[in-house]
Amino acid sequence: MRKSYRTTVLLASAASLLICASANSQERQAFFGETHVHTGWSFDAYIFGNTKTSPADAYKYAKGQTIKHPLGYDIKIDTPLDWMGVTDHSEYVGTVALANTPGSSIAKLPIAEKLIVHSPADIQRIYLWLGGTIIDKKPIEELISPEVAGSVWKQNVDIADAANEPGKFTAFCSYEWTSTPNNRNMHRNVFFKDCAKVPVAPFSSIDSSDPSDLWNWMDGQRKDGNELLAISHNANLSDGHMFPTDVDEKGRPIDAAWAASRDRNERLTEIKQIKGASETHPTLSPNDEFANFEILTYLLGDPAGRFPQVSGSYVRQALKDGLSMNEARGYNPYKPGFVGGSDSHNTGVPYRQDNFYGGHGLNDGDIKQRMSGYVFAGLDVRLENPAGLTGIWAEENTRASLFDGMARKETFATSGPHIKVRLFGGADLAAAADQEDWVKAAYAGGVPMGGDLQPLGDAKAPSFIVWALKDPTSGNLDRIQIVKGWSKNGQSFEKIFDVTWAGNRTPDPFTGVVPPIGSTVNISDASYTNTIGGVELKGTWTDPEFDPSLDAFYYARTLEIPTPRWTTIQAKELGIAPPDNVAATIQERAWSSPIWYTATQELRAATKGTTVADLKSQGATALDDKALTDLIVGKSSWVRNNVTGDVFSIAWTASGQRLIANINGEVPKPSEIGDVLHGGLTGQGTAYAIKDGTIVTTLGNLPYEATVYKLGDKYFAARSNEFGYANYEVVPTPQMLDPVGQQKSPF
Amino acid sequence: MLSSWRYTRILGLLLGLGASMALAVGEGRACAICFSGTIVTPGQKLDSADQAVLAVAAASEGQFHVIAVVKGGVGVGEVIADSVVTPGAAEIAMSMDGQTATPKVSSAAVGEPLLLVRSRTSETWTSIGTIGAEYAGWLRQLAATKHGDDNQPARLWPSKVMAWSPLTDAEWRERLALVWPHLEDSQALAAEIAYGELMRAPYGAMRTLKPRLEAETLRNWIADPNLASRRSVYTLLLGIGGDQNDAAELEKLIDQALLARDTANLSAMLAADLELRGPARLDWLQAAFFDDRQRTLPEIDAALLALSVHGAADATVPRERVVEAYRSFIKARKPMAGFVAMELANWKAWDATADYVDIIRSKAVKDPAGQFAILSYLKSSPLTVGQAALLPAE
Repeated sequence: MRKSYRTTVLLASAASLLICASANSQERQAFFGETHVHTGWSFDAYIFGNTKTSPADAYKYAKGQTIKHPLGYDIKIDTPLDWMGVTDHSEYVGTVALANTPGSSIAKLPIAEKLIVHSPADIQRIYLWLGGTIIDKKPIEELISPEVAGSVWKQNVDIADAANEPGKFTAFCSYEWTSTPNNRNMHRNVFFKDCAKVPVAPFSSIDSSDPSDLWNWMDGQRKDGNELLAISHNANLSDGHMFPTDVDEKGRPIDAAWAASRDRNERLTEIKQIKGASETHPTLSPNDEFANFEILTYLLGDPAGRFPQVSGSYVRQALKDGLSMNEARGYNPYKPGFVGGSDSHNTGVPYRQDNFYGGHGLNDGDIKQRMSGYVFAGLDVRLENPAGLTGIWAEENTRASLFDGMARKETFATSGPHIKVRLFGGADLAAAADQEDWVKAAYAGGVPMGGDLQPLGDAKAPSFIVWALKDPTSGNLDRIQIVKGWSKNGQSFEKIFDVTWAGNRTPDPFTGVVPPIGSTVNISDASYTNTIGGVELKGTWTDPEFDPSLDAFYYARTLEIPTPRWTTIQAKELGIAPPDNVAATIQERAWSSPIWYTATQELRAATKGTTVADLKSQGATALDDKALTDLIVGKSSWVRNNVTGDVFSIAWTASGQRLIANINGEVPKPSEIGDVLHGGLTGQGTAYAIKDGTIVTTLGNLPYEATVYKLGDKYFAARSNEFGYANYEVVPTPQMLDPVGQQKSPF
Repeated sequence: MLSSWRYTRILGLLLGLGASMALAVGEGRACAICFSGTIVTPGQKLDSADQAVLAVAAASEGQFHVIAVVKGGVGVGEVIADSVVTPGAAEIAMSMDGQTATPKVSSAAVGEPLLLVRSRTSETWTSIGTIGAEYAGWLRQLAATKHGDDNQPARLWPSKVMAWSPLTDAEWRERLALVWPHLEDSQALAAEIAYGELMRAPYGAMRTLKPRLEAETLRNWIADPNLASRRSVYTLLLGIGGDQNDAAELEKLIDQALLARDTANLSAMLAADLELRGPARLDWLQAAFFDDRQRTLPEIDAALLALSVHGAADATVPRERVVEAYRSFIKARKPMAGFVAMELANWKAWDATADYVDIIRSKAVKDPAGQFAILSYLKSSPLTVGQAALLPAE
């Protein structure tokens, strides 16, 4: 259910709740830039045909100059950027390109002879050579030596320094750590605050493919006075490994030290880029009608016989898991801010639907490749989409100021357009919104995106101010939503609230849903008009369901009105129908970084549920396979979720299918509890098996287990992904299910 | 008559393309229907290597003994320390963001020969997989089919690196004659090498296999669901080695594919259809794919790919007929005219010059890559200035 809250009451902010904002924080501006782009110095880009460009060309492009696409034609950015960090792959970065650049320092070294390209056969040979050493973990010492790797890195730094124009354009020193174990994208972009303090050479995946080793190296850098941060990207292609909850990449249990290291070093995560969005997935967020946005089901290298695991691959679920981990274990590794990026391998970056020229050189650089269903490395390139973009709220356009903005997570991501977004949270911020200098008041009375809510004092619930300004060259704005996530007893929930919207739409009185804004898109003409939607939206919202004992996060999502997707535009250019394997229209969007609420231990203890440990301490025993078989196979069980109070029936067929057939006397429907219904709404069963004392089934596409405990004559169950809580209890068949009243407690 | 500013503009655009492009034809180019160029085949690894041997692991000694030499200056009986050998073969692929390696299950047992390769740049040997010692001679012959060096002239339009072949057409003919008997060989690596080479061979070289092809075997392979990933290549071969019954069957399959909007094997079927039916099918192809406005781009692309392989082979369907078909495509599908510009330029087929001058003047092509391809063609065409001058002003 959704609710809209527009608070206009002016209240004086309680002085005791004021947060000390920096003197000039209210004057922070939004600076748009790029966190993720490759040039010909990345060897894969070189393979893709990008053989002639360097980071200097990327900065030229960002500033608005025309450069060449690898196919030879001119490319130019629509709206120049305020800043950029070139993130070439650190593994043998620049060595091939520079060995083939006459006069470069690398070209003068003996090793360069082995890297000279006379023909594509040489590239094939070098590719096998270099690639093989990475796979074998036997790096070529000469190429990773300070003489070579250090020289390239120094040139990279020099180029950034040359492009850097404090107050006008910021060029960061940055690179990509490119770990892809078993086809799982674990990549991170690393940004340095001060190019004068960067190391001799970057830490690459040749050094280690484990993120925790990267963080340890970063800690060492920081200890030496070199400030830096990492940005994870393409969680959607990580096969569930970007946001683990139980063990790390070395198989070690995740603990407080791991979580602290991650939070300390990995301040940001990329939520959208050319290879899809990582916010959430429709199966994780079945009641979010905007969740199905640029979803990409793909693993790098397209390994046969595998498909990516959804759980652990999306940011919203990670935020929720982080809350649950904090509740159950006392630490939260998943509090990242949001950025958008491109991952273009063309040096130039396409941000717009009407200027999309692909991101992978010769593989998607012409319209025929893009639109004909060409499958590149296992991916139909029509599923690509324009680059995401990052906004940073900062005092000035300098490395230090922008880096500090990233470090405090005062960042937002967009799907490409220059949409500006603000989010503030606090104990009583509604009043601040009506002040003339509301931004100043919001900084003074609350925290901006990326922050943690301070104690609420007498306030019963936190309130928020949201604001968005459209990109003048893009679509009008449809609405601003707040996405809330919370956790209770290891079970996490999400709900989306429409806060403010364009036009005179009235939320549905029962569901709270604001109706769709409609569409002006003419698909055959690939056009739209800004005759609907708004230029600027602003609103306030107070959490109507706030429970001070439960940890929560809140982030703002701003949607544009529907506009044509690039495939629709290019279909029109070719005189063909738009492809039917992708949406014809999209709603561009922006995401603010979240604001977190953390309950005190005292409040949290008051609602603490039953854990497996609690049950065991009371003498409960886990059922073995035979006991489980006797309990469920060929039967229907009524089970109560003790967190939500919902009572549901599960039919367990003797043939190994299970179906949730009824919840509180109703047909099951998608809700904030996620995709646990497994098609119960439509009567589709899900396979289950009894194995090693557990009931094994799937959640999304991830196997998970339920263990059943007997305590006296009662049965309790614990799910493997609920962090040690035993939230389910087998209950007698209800004698009466009243669909009108008492739905939550029929017993 | 072309107005002077338009004349100047076209010339200016052409000059702006730069003078570094060179035209060349005749280089080996993988059949675009079969080879995407994102993986590295065992044959490519063998070609890239300076040394290749069959060696047997002696587990107790921590070393390998060379039992046969495939290429390079290594002696039989030489010992290779296992510290410089990567025994686990991996499927190396260039992904959309960096290289990936998918481990392959290695069934190598002590005493079973491994095919090891090493390039002059590397200190280590890499295993391609296990293969019987009796294949040593075949591998030697295979490696020896690459006679020359790797240097070949650059093409006008950049081509995908992995799809590029250092072999000449003559070398390809020699190589395919060697690999043909080993398609679906019981030795997995031999079969993999054979298929990999066939897959990346130019279509013209494939056609030279005609006397060796057994149509019934090809039909069985095409029908085998376990070989579905190889269906396009075997369909092409059936076009070369099949008969009129196969042509009739293909026609049915093409009709079914068009009804179902299934383009998975369409380009190979169309190419095979053209091989079996000859240039007489061009009119149908043009009407069905270029003139029919209901065709999807994947379908149109399939038809263009079929024409492309025939144009490159210049045999059953003479190149000049393919050029004619391309010109009809340019006229029927002006917004797509850039699709074939670079291929026409590579063939030095300048008959489309007037068409392209018209296209540029009418601004029918919106895609910058398409515009660039057309302008590159016009820059190379010796007829451009004259054609531009002859065209009436708008």
